[in-house]
Amino acid sequence: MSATLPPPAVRRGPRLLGILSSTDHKHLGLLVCGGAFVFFCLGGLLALLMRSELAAPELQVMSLNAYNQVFTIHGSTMFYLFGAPMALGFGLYLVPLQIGASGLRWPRLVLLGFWLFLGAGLLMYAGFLTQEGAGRAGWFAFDPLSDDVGTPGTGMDLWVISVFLSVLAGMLWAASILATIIRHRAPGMTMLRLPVFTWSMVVSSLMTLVAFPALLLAMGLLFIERHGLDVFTQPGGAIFYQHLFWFFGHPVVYIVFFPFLAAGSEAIATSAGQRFFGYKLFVGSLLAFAALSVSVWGHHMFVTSSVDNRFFSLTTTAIIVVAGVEYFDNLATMFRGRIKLRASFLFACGFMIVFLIGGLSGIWVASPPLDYNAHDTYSVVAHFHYTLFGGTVFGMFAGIYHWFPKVTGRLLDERLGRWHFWLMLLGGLVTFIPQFFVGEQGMVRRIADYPETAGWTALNALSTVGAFIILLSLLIFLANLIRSLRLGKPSGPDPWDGHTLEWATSSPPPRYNFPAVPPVRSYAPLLDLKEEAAEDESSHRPVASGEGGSQ
Amino acid sequence: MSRGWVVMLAWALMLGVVWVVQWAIFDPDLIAFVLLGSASATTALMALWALLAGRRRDAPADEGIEATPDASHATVLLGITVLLLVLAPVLGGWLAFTAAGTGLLAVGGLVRERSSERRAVRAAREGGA
Repeated sequence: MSATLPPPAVRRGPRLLGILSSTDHKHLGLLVCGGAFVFFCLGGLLALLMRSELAAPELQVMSLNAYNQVFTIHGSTMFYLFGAPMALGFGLYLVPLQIGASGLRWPRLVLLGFWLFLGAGLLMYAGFLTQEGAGRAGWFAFDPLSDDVGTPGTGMDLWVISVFLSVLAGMLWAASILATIIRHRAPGMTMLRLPVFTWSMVVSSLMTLVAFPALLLAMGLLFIERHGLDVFTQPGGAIFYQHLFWFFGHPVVYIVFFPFLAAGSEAIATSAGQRFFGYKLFVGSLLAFAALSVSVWGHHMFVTSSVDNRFFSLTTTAIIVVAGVEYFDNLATMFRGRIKLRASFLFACGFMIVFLIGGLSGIWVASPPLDYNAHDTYSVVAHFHYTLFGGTVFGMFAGIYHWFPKVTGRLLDERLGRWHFWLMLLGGLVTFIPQFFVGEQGMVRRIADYPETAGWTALNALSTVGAFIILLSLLIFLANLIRSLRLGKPSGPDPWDGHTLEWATSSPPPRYNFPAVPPVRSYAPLLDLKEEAAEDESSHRPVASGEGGSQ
Repeated sequence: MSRGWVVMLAWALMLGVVWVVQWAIFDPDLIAFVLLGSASATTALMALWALLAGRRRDAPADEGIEATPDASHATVLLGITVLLLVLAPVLGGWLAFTAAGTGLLAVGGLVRERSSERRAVRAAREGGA
């Protein structure tokens, strides 16, 4: 660095106001991740309400209309307010640290995005306070169900605005992350020396910038339609809406998946004490995976008879190849490693197991004849919850346990972390496996009630028990979080013997991250330095008597 | 020079290959054809932007000068302005007038922040020369 100036004097308000208007990427990342986690908890509570309603036949907890609102806001929260924001929030915090940068490019855009995201969340939930209730046309809001005749009321309008704002926020964050990676890398940090997590942010940001505008357009047109102009009610309009929606709706799953896959990969490499296996192959497969996942959206429309099913079936099935490369890279990284069974490692393994169930069940819905049978049943609900619960929640916790010491300077309690993991794994399996079976038996999605004679009661009750086990695991995590923030052991800068640059600075990092950036000679620069230091030490060690060989 | 544009171009080409496969072998409807093609074209344009931006090295951060203020209240105000604007059609036109006021304040604040940044960068460059 040629010169580092103190920033221009700005009148400081109270600390909270300072953080809420901060341009420091660490504050911004924490704001986005913190906001997303709060919405995750709210979305989880809505899920528990739904599971409570479905635990037994007959309506017990809420009305049919309320159920429609609850499942709509649950899905919308998890996609628009939790999954994508949490993944990009990880990137906002970690990418500058991993590439040796002092901050993000365009930090004001990121701050603007945070306020749009916060507004989006508040508006979506404000819908519950309106006369007709919150949005209730599903997280996809297909037209004509979502137009002013199908779903009248201010709550649905607020939902449309909310989705528009959250998508816009995501685009601002992705643009900033991508520009930071392109323009702000430390000397020596070439593109093929980026850590795997940063690579995942490259592809997620690219996908965000390509896929999100489609939903932005869809929400803009839907809003116009709800206020009097015919847009989607023209012939072919409903299919046009579905194209726009799914062109966003499928890539967003991978926009969330890639960063958490890579978070798990970083946790695995560090816990195994090994260099990440097959780095270049992994990077290539990420790019190919991203290209394919932008090309598969039509598989959600197999039953509409308006897309070429053969093409979308082919691209969807081809994803197995690139996903396999990433799985085997992770397994090979563990091979012959000195694995430490930390909570972050357990969650990374949980991620791979749970997502594998989601991925394998995705193969048969990639086949149109099988999809015709499974479409809109609980089997599909189980499939995408395995991909999203595995791909998002387990990966997120792998990342949280891995990077919490860097962010706070304190360690999370490992014993509580292990309880958290095992209960969450158990809860995840008990909740969603029964849904494959009730789906196979004909239970369709988005119903608040079912007849006692259907024979689905036991499986639904089991699924509800699983949901409450997940709640218990989350309560343990929250207790761990609160306890560790106050009483956790100080972590020091590098508690895990990390491989990447973020572990070269203090915990938490200072305002501009690095007093001096270490030399970068590979995608694991800190590991290089440690190996060099170990070699130097061994070459300078005096030869003990009886030791063979020359130095 | 940053090689980030190469990655973007490579990804645009991958999307382009899938697009060509869709067009040459299958029978895409117009919307699917346009969506995939525009994804490839958008990425190629981003690659072009990255290439051109990589040749222009005049941003303060490229010289190691950190001039962005620690906090930007004007940006917060801009965010609130956008929220008020998008809510105006639903909750009442009066919000648009409020948004106009907060928007003016936000733009004024951003202009002030930027000029302060430019002064700081100039001072750093002169100090370093």
